[in-house]
Amino acid sequence: MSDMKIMVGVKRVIDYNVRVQVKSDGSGVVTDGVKMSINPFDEIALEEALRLKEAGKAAEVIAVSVGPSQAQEQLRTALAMGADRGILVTTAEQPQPLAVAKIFAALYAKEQPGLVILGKQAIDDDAGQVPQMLAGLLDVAQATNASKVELEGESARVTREIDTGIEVIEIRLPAVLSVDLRLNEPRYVKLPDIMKAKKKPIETIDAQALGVERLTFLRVIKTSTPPARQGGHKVGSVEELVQELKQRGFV
Amino acid sequence: MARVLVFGELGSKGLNSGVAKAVRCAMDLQPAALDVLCLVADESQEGIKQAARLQGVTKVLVRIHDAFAEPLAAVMGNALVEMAGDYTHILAANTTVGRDILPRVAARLGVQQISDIMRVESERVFDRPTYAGNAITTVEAPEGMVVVATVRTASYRAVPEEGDAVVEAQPFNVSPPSHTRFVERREAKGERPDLQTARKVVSGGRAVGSSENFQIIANLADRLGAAVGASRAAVDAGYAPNELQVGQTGKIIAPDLYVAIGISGAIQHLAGIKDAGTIVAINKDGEAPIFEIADLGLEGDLFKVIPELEKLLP
Amino acid sequence: MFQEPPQSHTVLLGEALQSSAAQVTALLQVAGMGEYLAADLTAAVLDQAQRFASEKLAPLRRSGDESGCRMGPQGVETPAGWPQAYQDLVSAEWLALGFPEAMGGQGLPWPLACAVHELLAKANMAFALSGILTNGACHLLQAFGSPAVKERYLPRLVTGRWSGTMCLTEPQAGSDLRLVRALVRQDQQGNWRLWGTKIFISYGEHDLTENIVHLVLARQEGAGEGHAGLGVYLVPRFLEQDQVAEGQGSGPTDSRKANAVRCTRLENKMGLHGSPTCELLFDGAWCIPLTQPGDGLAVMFSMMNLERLLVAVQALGVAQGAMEQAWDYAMTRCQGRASHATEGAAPIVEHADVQRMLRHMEILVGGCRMLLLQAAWMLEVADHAPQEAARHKARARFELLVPVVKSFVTDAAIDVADTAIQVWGGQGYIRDNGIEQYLRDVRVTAIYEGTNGIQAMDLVRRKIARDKGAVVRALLDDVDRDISTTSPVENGIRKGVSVLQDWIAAMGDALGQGKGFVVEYCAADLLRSLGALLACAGWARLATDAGAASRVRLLANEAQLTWIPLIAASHERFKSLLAQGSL
Repeated sequence: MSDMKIMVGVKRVIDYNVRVQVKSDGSGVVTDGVKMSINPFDEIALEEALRLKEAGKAAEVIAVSVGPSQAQEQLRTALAMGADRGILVTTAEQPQPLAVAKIFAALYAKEQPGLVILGKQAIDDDAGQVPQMLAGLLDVAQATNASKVELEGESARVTREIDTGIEVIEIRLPAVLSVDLRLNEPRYVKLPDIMKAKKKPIETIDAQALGVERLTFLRVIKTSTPPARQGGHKVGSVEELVQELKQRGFV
Repeated sequence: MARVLVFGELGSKGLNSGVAKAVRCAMDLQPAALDVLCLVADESQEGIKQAARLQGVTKVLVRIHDAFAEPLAAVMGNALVEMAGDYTHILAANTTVGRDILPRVAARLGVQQISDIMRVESERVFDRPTYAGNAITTVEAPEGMVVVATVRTASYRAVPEEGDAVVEAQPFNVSPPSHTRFVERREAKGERPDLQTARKVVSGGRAVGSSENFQIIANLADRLGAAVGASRAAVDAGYAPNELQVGQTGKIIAPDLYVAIGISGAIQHLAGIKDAGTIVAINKDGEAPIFEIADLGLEGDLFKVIPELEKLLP
Repeated sequence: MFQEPPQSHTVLLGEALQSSAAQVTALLQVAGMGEYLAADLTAAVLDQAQRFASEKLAPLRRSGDESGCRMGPQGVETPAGWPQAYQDLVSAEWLALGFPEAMGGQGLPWPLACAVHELLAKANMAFALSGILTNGACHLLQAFGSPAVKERYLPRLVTGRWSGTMCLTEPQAGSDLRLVRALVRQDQQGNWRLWGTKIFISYGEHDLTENIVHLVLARQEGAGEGHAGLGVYLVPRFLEQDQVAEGQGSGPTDSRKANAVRCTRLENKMGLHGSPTCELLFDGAWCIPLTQPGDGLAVMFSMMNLERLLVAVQALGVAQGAMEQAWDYAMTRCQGRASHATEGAAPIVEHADVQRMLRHMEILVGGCRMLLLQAAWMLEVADHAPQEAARHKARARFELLVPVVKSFVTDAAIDVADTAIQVWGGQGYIRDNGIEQYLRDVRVTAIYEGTNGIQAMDLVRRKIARDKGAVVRALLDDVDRDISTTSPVENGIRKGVSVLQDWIAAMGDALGQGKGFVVEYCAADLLRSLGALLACAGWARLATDAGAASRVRLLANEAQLTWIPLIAASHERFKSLLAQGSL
C-alpha cells in the first residue's frame, strides 16, 4: 500500500504549559492572548504518520484541523513537521466530538485514506472520543491508545496500552488509530522546514459544505474552578501513619 | 425515571473494580432500574456473581457469545448498541476498556458521549473535568436521547457487595467483525506498575542523596505495590532516570495514594500530583511546603522512617 | 488599588512574542521587505524555537550550573547532556537563522534572529553563549576573510557544526587591548605561528563540536607597539589534512591533527558555570592571518557592535526567564491576607508590594525588548535597505544605540533577576530552586564585551561627541515626532526628550571647556537616561496599538512615571556638578 494516504488530526488547543484560568463568569477558560499549540497527542499521531511515510509504507500525509481559522497556525506547524498538505475545516463554534467525528467521516469519504491517526484525547476537553466515534461511524477497525504500530500490507499489528499492561490486536485497514504518549517522540521542527511549509497547500472547507450542520449536542451550562486542595494533618509516628494508611485501605 | 445500564467490565481478576464505582454513580440518578450488562464467552465467570452482589443493582444481564472472550470495542460496542433500547442511560467506568467501547456506542446511537462524570446534578446534568482537572465543566444532555457516559472512578467510592440481584443469562447473537483480531495481552505481573497509571506511587526527592539510595524508594514501592516516581531535583541530580520525573515538566499523575519522600514540594512538583487521592509526605524539614498540601505528614529522616515503615507494613 | 492580573505570565510572554513578531513585520515593511517574511511565519519560527529551547535546553540549566565544566583526558568537558543538546540544536539549524542563504543560513532578519537568541538564552544562557560566539566569528570571517578562508570555514561555522571564539583578553590587556602581547611570526617554512596566553575565552575548549576556530588578536613580530602591530589570526584547534601541522600536537591523542593550542586553566566563576571560560595557551600554533598588522583592533571592534547587541539579547532572555518564574511563584504561593480580600490566605500576587515588584520587572523587560528590537531593526535596515542613504543613516543610529542597549538592558536584567529572588523570598535564596542562578549568570553581561562603564565612555566620547551629537539629536527628534502624533503619555516623554536635548548640548559645551571628567562621571547617567527614554517610548508604542491590553496601557503609564523623573533628576545632578566645576 505504498500509495496509501494517512489522515491525521491536528487540534488547536491551549498550550500544554499554560496555567489554565477559568473565567470568573463561568463562561469558559481564558483564551485571549493565550499561547495555542497542537494538541500534544496529535503531534505523536502526526509523527507516527510521518515515520510510516518515511518507511515507504504511505505516500501522503494529510493534516486536518477542525476549528477556527487560526488553526491554520497549527496546520502550518504540521506541514513544517512534514505533512504534505493540510485541510482546515472551519466551524462557527467549537464543535463537540461527535461533530468532529462526522466531519472526519465526510473527509474520509472524500480522501479515502488507509489510516486515520488521531491523538487519544485533546488536552482541553479531555473527552477522548473522536477516534472511537469515527471508527464506529465508518464501521471500521479501531485501535486506541497505541504504543506500537507495525504496518504490513493491508493490516497492522497494534500494541495498546491498557490499565493492566499491554494488549496486542491485529486490524485490517482501513482503520482508525488513537495514539498514546509512548508511541514515539515527535520530532522538533527544523528551521528550514518552517520556510518550506509556507509553500505547501492548505485547503479550507466549511463544515456545512461537508454536510455537518450540527456542531454541539450537549449544552455547556458552566465552567468552574475545582476546589483547592486542602492540607491534612501530621502524624506523630510511623505506627500512626501505617494505621491511617490501613484505615484508608492502602495497605 | 431513569433506567440505567452499566457496562459490567470483566477481566482476568473478575469484575473490574470500576464497575462498583460506576454503579454508585448510577444510583445518584435514582433509577427505576439499574442493570449491569456482562458480555461473556463463558457464563461461569466469577465476576458475574460479584456484579449481582453490588448494592443497588436490579438485574445482571449476562449475554453469551464466543466473540465476547476479549473486550474488542467493535464487538462489545455493537452488543451495547443493541441493548440500549430499554435504557435512558448507559454508563461504563472510565477504564481503558470503557473508554475504548463507549464512544463507539455513542456514535452509533447518534449521541454525544459525556466523558468522566465526576458528579451527577440531575438525570441530565453532570460535572466533568476538563483541562487536566484544572476546570470543571457542567453539561446538560438533550431531552429524549439516551445518555451515554463514562464515570470518573476516582470520584466515586465503590458500592458495597451487599445486594442480591437477579442474574439473567442468555445466548446473544452477534457477528464478530472480520477487521479486528485479538492477539495477546501482557499484564504486568510482579513488575512495578507504570507511573502514569499506577494507583499508588512512591516518589523520592533530593534528600534521598544518591542513585544507590534510591533503591530504598524502589523497595518501599514494591512493598506497597506502587510505581516509583522522583522529583525534578532528584532527576537533575542523577538519582533517578528522566522518565520517573513527576511534576510540571515531568509526568502529571493522579494515583489514589502518593507518597512523597524527601521531597520539599516545589510548586512545579505539586502541579504534577494535585489530582492524587491521598498525599503522604515524609520529610525531615517540618517547614517543607509539601506539608501544606499533604493529607498525612510525617516529620522525620527518611533513612530511619522507611525501615521502620517496612517493618510495620503487613 | 489591586488590579486583578487577568493574564498569567505565559500570556505576557505571548504578548511579548507577538510584539516581537509585530516589530519584525513592521520593520520589514519599512525596509521595503514586507513580503519577505509574513507575520505568521515569524510566529511559527518563535513558537518552534521556544519549544526547542524549553524542552531541550531549559532542563540542562540547573544541572549545568551545579556540575560546571571540567578538564577531562581529551580536553574540556561540558556538563552531562550538553553535547547531545548541541547536536540537536545544530541539526534543527537554529544557529544559522540570521545568515544569508548563500552562506547556508536562512536569511531571517535580525530582529527575529535576536528574538530566537533571546529564547535560547532564557532557557539556558550558559549553553546558548556558544552559539552567539560562533555567530560573531562568522560575521568577522564574512566581512574580512579571504575567499578561500570563507569557503573553508563559513559553511561549517554558520551551521554550528564547528564553533568559533574571539580571543582578545590577556592578563595585562583587558579593557585596553593595545597592550596585547600575543606574538605571530613566520617559521622557516613560511607558515605563520602564534605564541601567547589568552584569558577569559568563553568556549575556548569544549566537547560540543569536532573543531574550534579561534580568532585571535595578536601582534606581528616587528610590526610595532600599541595598536599598530595588532592583527587578527585564525587558529583552528584541529588542522585539516592539507594544513601544515608540525606544531607539536599538544592536546589529545586523536586521529585529527591537533594544533598547538590548549586550555591550561578553567576559571571558577560566580555563575555561567556550564560555559567553559578558558585560559588558552598558544604555543607556536599554526595560523592564518586575516588582516594586515595594524588593522586588528578596527576589525575586532567592527564585530563588537554585533556582539554587544547579542549580549543584551542574552541578558533580556535571562530577565524574561526570571520574571516568568517570579510570576509563577506569585500566582501560586499563598501567604497572608491581601488588604482588599476578605477571607483565606491569598496568592502573594495579590499583595500590593508583590505587584510593585512584578510590574517593575515587566516594565524593565518590556521596555528593554522594545529598545533592543529597535536596534536590531536598525541593523537590518543598515544591512539590507535598498537606498545607500537609508543604509548609512540606519548604520549610524545602530552604532549609537549599541552602547545604550548593551548597558541599559544588562543593568535592567540584573535588576530583574535580583527582584525575582525577592519575590521568591527565602525560597529565592535557595540554590536548588534555580532562581538565584539567573542573577549569578546574568551578572557577567554587564562586564563582558566591554564593561558597562566602557559603554558609557563609548557613548559620550565616540558616538555622541564625534559627530557633535548629530545622530543622537536626530534620534530624539524622531522620538518626539512619533510621540506627538500617537501616544497618550506624550507629555512625559516629550519632557524627557527636551531634557536630553539640553543635556547633550551642555555636554558638548562642557567638553569644549575642558570639563571632560564631569561629562564622563555622568556618562553612565546619560546612557541610562537615554535608554530609559527609549524604553518609555517603546512602551508608549505598544500601548497605542489598537488591540493593546489594559495591562499594557497600565505598564506604559507606570514606565513613564518611573523613568521620566529619573531622567530629570540625573540631568539636574549633571548640571549641579558642572556648575560646581570640579569633583
